[in-house]
Amino acid sequence: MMLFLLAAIVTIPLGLDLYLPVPEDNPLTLEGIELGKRLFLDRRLSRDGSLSCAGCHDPTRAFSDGRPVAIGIHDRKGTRNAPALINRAYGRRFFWDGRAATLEAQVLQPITNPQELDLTLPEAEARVGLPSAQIARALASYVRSILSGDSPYDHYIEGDRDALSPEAVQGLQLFRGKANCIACHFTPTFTDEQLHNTGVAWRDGKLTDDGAGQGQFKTPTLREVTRTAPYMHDGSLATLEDVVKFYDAGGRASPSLDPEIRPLRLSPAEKQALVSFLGALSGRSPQSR
Amino acid sequence: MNSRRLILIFATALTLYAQADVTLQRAMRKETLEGDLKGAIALYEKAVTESKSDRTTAAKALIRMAECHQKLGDFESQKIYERVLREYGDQKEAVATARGKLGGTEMKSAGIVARQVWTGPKVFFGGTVSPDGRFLSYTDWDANELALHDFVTGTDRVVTKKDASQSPEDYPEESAISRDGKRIAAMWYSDSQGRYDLRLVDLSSSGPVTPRVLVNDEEVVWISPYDWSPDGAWIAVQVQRKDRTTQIGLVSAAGGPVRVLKSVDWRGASKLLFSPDGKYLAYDLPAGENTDQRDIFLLAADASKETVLSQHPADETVLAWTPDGKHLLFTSDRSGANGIWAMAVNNGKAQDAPVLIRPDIGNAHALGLSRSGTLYLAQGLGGPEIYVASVEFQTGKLLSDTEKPIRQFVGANSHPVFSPDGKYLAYESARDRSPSTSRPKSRVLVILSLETGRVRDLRPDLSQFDRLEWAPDSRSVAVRGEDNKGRHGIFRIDTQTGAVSPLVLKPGVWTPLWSPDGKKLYYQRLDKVTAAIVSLDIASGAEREILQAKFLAPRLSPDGRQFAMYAEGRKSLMVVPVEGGTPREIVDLAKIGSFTGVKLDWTADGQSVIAPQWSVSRGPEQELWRIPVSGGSPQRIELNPAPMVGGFSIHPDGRRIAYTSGRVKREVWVIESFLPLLQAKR
Repeated sequence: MMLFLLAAIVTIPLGLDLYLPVPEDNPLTLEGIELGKRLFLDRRLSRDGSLSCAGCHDPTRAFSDGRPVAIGIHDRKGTRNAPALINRAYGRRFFWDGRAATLEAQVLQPITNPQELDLTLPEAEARVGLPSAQIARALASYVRSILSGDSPYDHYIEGDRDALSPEAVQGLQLFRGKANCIACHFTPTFTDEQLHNTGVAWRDGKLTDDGAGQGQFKTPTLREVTRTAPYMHDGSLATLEDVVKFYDAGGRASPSLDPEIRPLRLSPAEKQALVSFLGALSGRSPQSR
Repeated sequence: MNSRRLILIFATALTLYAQADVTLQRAMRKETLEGDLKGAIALYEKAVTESKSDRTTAAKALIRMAECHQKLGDFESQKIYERVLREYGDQKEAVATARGKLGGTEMKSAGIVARQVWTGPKVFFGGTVSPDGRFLSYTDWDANELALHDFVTGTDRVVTKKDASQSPEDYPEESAISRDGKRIAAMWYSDSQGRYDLRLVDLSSSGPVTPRVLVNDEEVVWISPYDWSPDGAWIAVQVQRKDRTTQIGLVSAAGGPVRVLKSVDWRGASKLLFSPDGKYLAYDLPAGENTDQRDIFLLAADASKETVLSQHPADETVLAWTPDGKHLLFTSDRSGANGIWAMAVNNGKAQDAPVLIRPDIGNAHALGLSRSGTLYLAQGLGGPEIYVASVEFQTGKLLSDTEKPIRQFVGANSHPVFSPDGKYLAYESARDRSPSTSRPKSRVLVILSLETGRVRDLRPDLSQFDRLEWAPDSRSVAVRGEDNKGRHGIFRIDTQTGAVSPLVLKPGVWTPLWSPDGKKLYYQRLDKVTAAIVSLDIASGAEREILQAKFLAPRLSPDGRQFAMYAEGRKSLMVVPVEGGTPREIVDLAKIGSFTGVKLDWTADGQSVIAPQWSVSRGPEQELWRIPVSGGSPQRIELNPAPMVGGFSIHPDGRRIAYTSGRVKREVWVIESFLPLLQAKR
């Protein structure tokens, strides 16, 4: 059998599925990925030429930006945290509110969003000399090639029992058990790709962001999570310790709070162990061509 | 012919017409109101005989009879539908129904032969058929070893043996024979590890051999082999990891880690089938989170591409590839009944619309297709029924005739439990068994009102549940179960609404028990190393271990003061105060017989416990014994029908008992001679 043909185009890191979902009308090619990478870094795709996609999805920060919410051209402040573009090839819905069903449908929207890159599609086409459908296919191909695996966790699962510290192993047990993180952060991508209300969007009984409805947002991946602070859809939690504390308290009370969110009664040592385990989900670096 | 004779003939004909119609009505009542399908079939047959020239009644009776056979899951329905088409072409309504049941795109089925090839107590459906169609791999539960059934000689041969490192309690469960018929890959339960591993059996030796371990990974809970690549180098497996992720993968026949091709819904695929050229794997997956329907996919074995073969609003599962690799056979209920369909496949893609091969195979699932084109099907028939009897527990004597209070889904119901107020009987109903796994697609909690006879079906949002335990207020039950994210624990089901809420979320928990005031839930925590009875304070969530020991099937006394339970090994019966303390033996069970250790109950007066023991050395048959707590002779309880096969419950009035009797009959069938028809279709 001719196993692992895709390896010639992208390297599937340890821990991820060997089957990388790719739409039939946009096959993964080296040329497509390279074009997508150039477009991803191309500042001509912003109205004032100051920003590219990488402005909010910095490859050195696991394709996130380190800010609570995304900042577009002319310092226009967005409302949501720039999500890490990790393992999106395996994604089933896109954006925090899941409003795009495919990467091809997602990648053009930040270009045309007035708060982000603020171009019309005809303007974008004219600037880079490509039809928008080709821009979308190329950007989607590039994003599909951004993969993270080969982490200490993956080596531990593969059989190297020394790959995790004892504290991280305890954290893994908590992750799967008492802390119930696994209810939404499924392996191998550490997201169930589903929408949940954790209460983050609710303050003083009021909804600050409807999300996908009633404050529901898509579960983010935890791969590379130590490199993607701050956290949650609004970047309101600065550290992983804050996130663990938030969930330990049972999220934030709100109507339609997800039934999986409930007080965890974690001890300080257990919280520390969880953070230690989350630190083991970073690979050497997110892989892309 | 004189006029008197004419009148007599006319009157006789009218009488027969009327009689046929009366019999038809009786049959319909028996079918719909009493749920007695076999009785109804007999009456429908009688109606057909009586109908003589009343063709409308005859055709109607035949259609109803076929529907009864369909519900029973046997093959007879197809023959009857075909008879309607053949003999009652003038009965438009009946013909339309028969055509619909047989499927609009039916293949000419003349010449297709179905016959039973194996039945009996040894039949077990965990394996596959050898490519030459001669052998079926299965688990011999007497030996806890892998065995082969020979369809030619009708003999059975155990092919594995344990070495000194293995426990007698280790056993194989699912297995797949290689394409050359020389090796078997099997999922093996390791008692010492408390999980499954993957082992390889070499059949080249003349006698039983100790299998070689291929994959033994503490992160893998189970690993099930489904098929071998044609070159014998790879085994297609499905694994479930500790974090409940289910994955489709390949394992080298030489050993090594699982190459994960695709992570899937935790419910996983029902089968993985290598195409004859080895390029593709065919499987089915759930169509969505909130449905049990499945769609069919092809994944390139090099993981480069996946294609949807069939996405239809129906439940579909893969069966087998035809030997030439040009068709994939699958089951589908798209025509209303679960039938066999063939999909032409070329270059990894579906060609044309699928063709119906066999319109009704009930709940059968495939064991394999031989090189010569014989399809082997596993079929389960019948099942347990719930009975209620009045018993004088002091003497063990039956006080009245046994009743069958349940008329619906006969054969699917089990584990009855009376509510504490005595007004309800709750039971499990396992309906629509999956054709691929024989597991029920929908497990229903049914609440029968003993006052009104009204039945309410609740479909709790759980993938499986058992060990029903009514709360003291008779408004909810606690169950041990697994939710739709694959998490194990104890859940509360509101018996008014069916709403589910978790009480304990952790694996290895058993036997929920309520304190009489409903403020505490006791449960058993059991793993390979430790065991305990745990008390959970419902209000605060605080837990306390009240007894650390490996006891089985604890049961709280009616006054809530003590547990009765089996000691480990089921050799004696113990009681222990609910606050904890030293257990006291009340009887040496070994002197009475071999007890199951699965279930206990107290009599309503709290003076005795009722315990089941095996009525034969192997098999599910059990009989009940009353054992006085304060000394005295054990007493066998009369049951009719006997033996009992599942759970039982004692009514709070202290006189009635509900129990389950009857079992599924397993059969292997073959369907032959359909491949030439499939080729002719092209």
